[in-house]
Formats: sequence, structure tokens, C-alpha cells
Amino acid sequence: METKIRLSQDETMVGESEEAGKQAEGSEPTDSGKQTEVGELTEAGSRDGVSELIDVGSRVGVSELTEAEKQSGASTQTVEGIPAGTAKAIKPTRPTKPTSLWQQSLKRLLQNKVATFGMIYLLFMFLFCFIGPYFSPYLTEKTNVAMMNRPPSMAHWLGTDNLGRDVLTRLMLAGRISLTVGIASMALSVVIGALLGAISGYYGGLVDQVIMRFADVLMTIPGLPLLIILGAILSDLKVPSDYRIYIVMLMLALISWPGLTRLIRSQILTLREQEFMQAAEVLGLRDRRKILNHLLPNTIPLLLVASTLSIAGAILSESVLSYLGLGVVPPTPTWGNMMDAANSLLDFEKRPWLWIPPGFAIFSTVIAINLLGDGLRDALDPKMK
Amino acid sequence: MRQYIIRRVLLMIPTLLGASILIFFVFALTPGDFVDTNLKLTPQRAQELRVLYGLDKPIIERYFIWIGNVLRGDFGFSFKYQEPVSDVIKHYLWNSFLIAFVSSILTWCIAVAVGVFSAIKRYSWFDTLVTLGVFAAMSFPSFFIGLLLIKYFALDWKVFPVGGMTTTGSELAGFGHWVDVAKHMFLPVLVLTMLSVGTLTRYFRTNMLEVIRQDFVRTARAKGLKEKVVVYKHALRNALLPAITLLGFELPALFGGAIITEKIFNWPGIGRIHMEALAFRDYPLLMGLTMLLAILTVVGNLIADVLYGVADPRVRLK
Repeated sequence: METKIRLSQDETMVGESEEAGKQAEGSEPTDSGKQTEVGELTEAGSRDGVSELIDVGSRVGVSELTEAEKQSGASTQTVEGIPAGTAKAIKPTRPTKPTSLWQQSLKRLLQNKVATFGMIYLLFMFLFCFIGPYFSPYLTEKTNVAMMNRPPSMAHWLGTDNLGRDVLTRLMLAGRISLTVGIASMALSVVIGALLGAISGYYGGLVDQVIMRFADVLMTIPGLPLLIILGAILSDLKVPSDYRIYIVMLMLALISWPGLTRLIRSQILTLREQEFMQAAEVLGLRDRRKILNHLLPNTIPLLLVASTLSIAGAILSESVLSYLGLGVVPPTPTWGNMMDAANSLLDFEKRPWLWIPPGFAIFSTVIAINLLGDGLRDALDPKMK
Repeated sequence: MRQYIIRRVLLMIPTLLGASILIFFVFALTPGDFVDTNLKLTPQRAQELRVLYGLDKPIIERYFIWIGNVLRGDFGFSFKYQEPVSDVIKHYLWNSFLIAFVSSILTWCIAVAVGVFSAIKRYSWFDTLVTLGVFAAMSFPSFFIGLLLIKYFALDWKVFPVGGMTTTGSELAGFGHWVDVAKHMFLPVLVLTMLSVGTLTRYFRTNMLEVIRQDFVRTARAKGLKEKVVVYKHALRNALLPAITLLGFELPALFGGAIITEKIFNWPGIGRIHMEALAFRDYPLLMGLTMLLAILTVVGNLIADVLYGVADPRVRLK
């Protein structure tokens, strides 16, 4: 199966780059694009030495694809309105201030309105959750028996819960945990996934077999059932609420690393065969340096996209688990276990302010992450589209 | 091709064995079993039950007994339902299949139509709307959308029943029974469709966009064919073909049950008994269900790979 996947990926890659090449020949504006590229190559060369030069070259190849793709989409307009095209051709071919690949990608990302919106929303969400509570008059107040189950009002914008706690404040505090769990489990699974993927792609052979078979086994059991079982075990072990957060992070990382490992491994397999790796070989670099300094940095665009999307997955999984009472449990609030209110019929039917806000928070955060991730993919890595 | 399939089937065996080891040890090492949770038992009776269910033997031995039985199609005896696990699964499997099947058909129809159309009208307002809708559908937590639908459609507006598969106490038979079931099915099917339609729509849109860019489509246009013929005859066929591989991946979803959706709508399927078995710590049933999911996933992957070879002859070479 592995060989097959590798083969098909190679094929698509060849197909795409050929196509991009054709388009580049066909349309005028790419001319200037090529020029800047060369400029960059030399610049990078003078900065970081030979292997880096080839390194960057391979990455430029990727980014060139996007440009060609974008232009193929946009070219219909420029060709029809000829002036725009000619004006571009006359423009100085080398920009006065050379921009790095990252700056180019960032620019592309910011041109994508939807992705920018996602990013701004996420920023807002972070501020809302991490700074917001300090503006709340109810932060120190734990429970208030006199104010139980009140609907939204001027004093309590989202009402109060069955212990008289302000729902809005709780929503912010819950967001802290939900976002932290999402990001931490992503970070963990990216570290595991990238390292194992790189090791297994680089060394091949027995190491590869062992790692990938283990990943296969983990992937045969669908994520949610596995999480639910592990969550139940946690409950049986009577893990204290404070520690459960960390274990839930571990659990989420456990189910998401195999996919990442596979992704990185296939990427490393193609990178390993490229010239800059031969150069690294000739330079007599140690394996660790080859993997960490030369192979993995080239997978960063891919990793960035995958990890963004995996935060969304982790937040969703955590919310499902906590909703079922198998993830993070009260008193630690998360968006998921706040929705636990919907499990009681009275709260569900008569007090929607208890469970609709956290549900909406999960939904809007996840959609913002997905939009940002998709924008990143367009900006960084056209192959994954 | 045959050799390829044989090799793939052989590769399945170690993977499934690995999965079975993982499943068994996760459950076996879990503190608290069926006997422990029943506080009414005297220590002596508890010991008898342990011997009866073979819980007193060393763990390695228990694994081999279990896997031996599984290979013979015997998944053990469910504590909660007091029936063999395979009977319990058989009993609920088709209920899960019913909603999963209907929602899969809906999903595929909607995804093909919407995906292809938004690819043809790329960057139009329809395309933007679809893209946003796709992301919304992908980002909804299943339980939240389910709860919202129940709240508004079932409780507030009373259009559809709250949950279950039939109206409690109804004695309807024949056509009336099916109408009743269809009413109960509507919301869970809606949720399942919404959750899966996003990814598939995106898939078809990307596929179609890729095909439209290719040379043979340009040739078809250059020949002076009508745009309709170019799109629906030449491009569409090629865009749909790779999708047959996805049929394989549908397998676990079709028979494995939807845990959250079925729990929320109280639909008597595999997903719901999964949650119930968990609450009851009915380990034989849980192990059976998890093993079933693992088998379905592996077989689904196999089908996907084989179909991939059917769709794209280049893959067969290796």
C-alpha cells in the first residue's frame, strides 16, 4: 500500500509541475516572477551557504506553482484587458526590496479575505478568553444562590447557571481550557508525528516498518470510539479533575499523530531523493543534522497547515468527550462540559442560554481555524489542495 | 491485479492482529469490570462469576482464548443484553445501516451536484456561498447541531419527534409503520448528511477543477462542442471516476454506527449500544464493537485500494 501511495503522489507532482511550467511559458506576467526568484536564490546563497541554496530552490519551486496557478486563474482578466499585462511586463523585474518566501506567503494569505477574517476572529477569541475575564465583575465570585438560572439580562449578558455563576465569564474561562487543550495536543502530536515521520522516512527498513505498522494499528480503530474508551478508563481510575486536562491532551495527541506521521513520511521520502540531500551527504553531515536542519524545515509549510487543521480537530474531539463527561470534567470548565447542561431536559428546553453559547463558541472557533487553515494551504502548499 | 489484492489481504492480517492486541489490553487492563460494578454481589459470588467468565486466568491466556473465539466468529457474551455479542450487533446493525445508507445517498447526490456546479461557476456568488456552507458543515460539533435541531424542530415547533425510531406504543404496521420510522429518521439523517456533505463537496469541486484544466477538455472545446457536452460528458465523467475509491471508506460509516448522533436522537443502532455498553462497562460487547469497527476500517481501506486500481490502471503496476 505504501509503495502505491508514494507512486501516485510522485505522479501527481510531476503532472502538476509540468502543467505549471506550460502555463508559465504561456503567460507574460510569470516572466517577472521568474526574475525575482533568481534574485532570491542568489540572495539566499550568499546568506546561508550551498546546501541552503538548493534547499530554498526546492521550496521556491513549490511556491512558483502557486503563482502559476493563481495567474492561470487571473490571466483571463489580464489578457482581456491588455494594458494591465503590458504594464506588468515593463515594470522593473527585480523588486527594490527583496522579500522572503515567508513574507510572500503572508502577503498571499492576507489577500485571502476569508482566511484573514478567520485569523482576526481567532485573535478576538483569544483576547476574549484570556483577557476578557479580567473585565468581568463576576470573576472572583464563585457561586451565588440568589441568582440561579436567570435568563440573560443587563447584569448577566448571557444569564446565570444553576449555581448562580455568570455564563459569559464561565464561557471565557472555559475557552481558555478548550483552546489550551487544542493547541497543546496539536503541539504534542506535531512533535511526535514530525519526528517519527522523519525517522521512518529517512531510515526506511525495519525502523520504518515498526513505526508505520504501529501507526496503521492505531488508525484502524476510529478516533472517537478509542477516545471514549480511554475517557471511560480515566473515569474508572478516578483521575483528579486537574490532571485530567493533561491526560486528555495526551489522548488527543495519541489519536492524531499517526495521520501526521504518514503525511510527513511521504514528504520526507520525496525530499530525501533530491539534490540538496546529496549535497548534505557529501558534506558529511550527521543524520540528526540532516533530519532536523535539512529535511524537516522543508516540511514546515505542510506542517503548518496540518497542525492548524489539527487544532480544529482537537477542539472538536475535546468538546465531544467533555460533553459526554469523559473528557475534562467539572469544576474545570470547558466549552464541551458546559454543554453538558443540555443533558438535563429542563435546562435543555427552558434554558438555552446555558448550552447554546458554548456550542456556538466551539462552532465559530473551529470554523475560523478551518478557514485559516485552508487559506494557509492555498498560500503555502498548493499540492495539498 | 489479483496478486496485488492477495498481497493487500495478507497485509491486513498483522494490522488486525495488532488492533486486536491493542483493544484487548486496553480493556483488560482497565480497572473495574462488570463484576466489580455490581455491589450487591457477595465476594464468593463475585469469585464464581469471575471463574465463569474466565476473568481469573492470566491476561495473556485470556487474550488467546478471546482471539481464538473471535476468529471463529464468537465475540463473547454480552453482560448487559444477556445475549451473544454477535446477536446484539446483528440486532442493531440494520437500524444503523438504515440511517447511514439514506444519509450516504443524500450526501453523494448533494455533493456531486453542488461540488460540480460550484466548480463550473468558480468564484461566483454561488461558489462562495457553497464554500462557506461547506466550512460551516465541517465545523459543527455533531452534538451541538443535533441538539439545536431537536430544540427547534422537535420541542419548539413540534414538526418531528424528539427521538427513538418509532412512536412509543404505536401499533402501526406496514406503510404506516414506515411513515412513522421515516419521520423519526429525518433529523438524524439530516445531521449525518450535514456532517459529511462538506468534505465530499470539496472533493468533487477540486476534482472537477483539476479535470477542467486538462488538455482533453481544451481539445473538446476546440472541436467546437457545446459547453454542456464538454462539461457533463467529457469533464464530469473523469471527475467522478476517482471518487469511487471513496466508496470503500464509507464502509465503517455505513455499518459502524454514528455514536454521537444516535445517542442524541436515541436511535436504536450500533452507536447507541456502544454508549450504553460503555456506561454499563459491558466489556465483551465493547470489545466486539471496537473490533467490528477495526475490521470495517481495514476492509474499507482494502476496497478503496482495489477500487483505486480499477479506476486508475497506473496504480496496478506496483
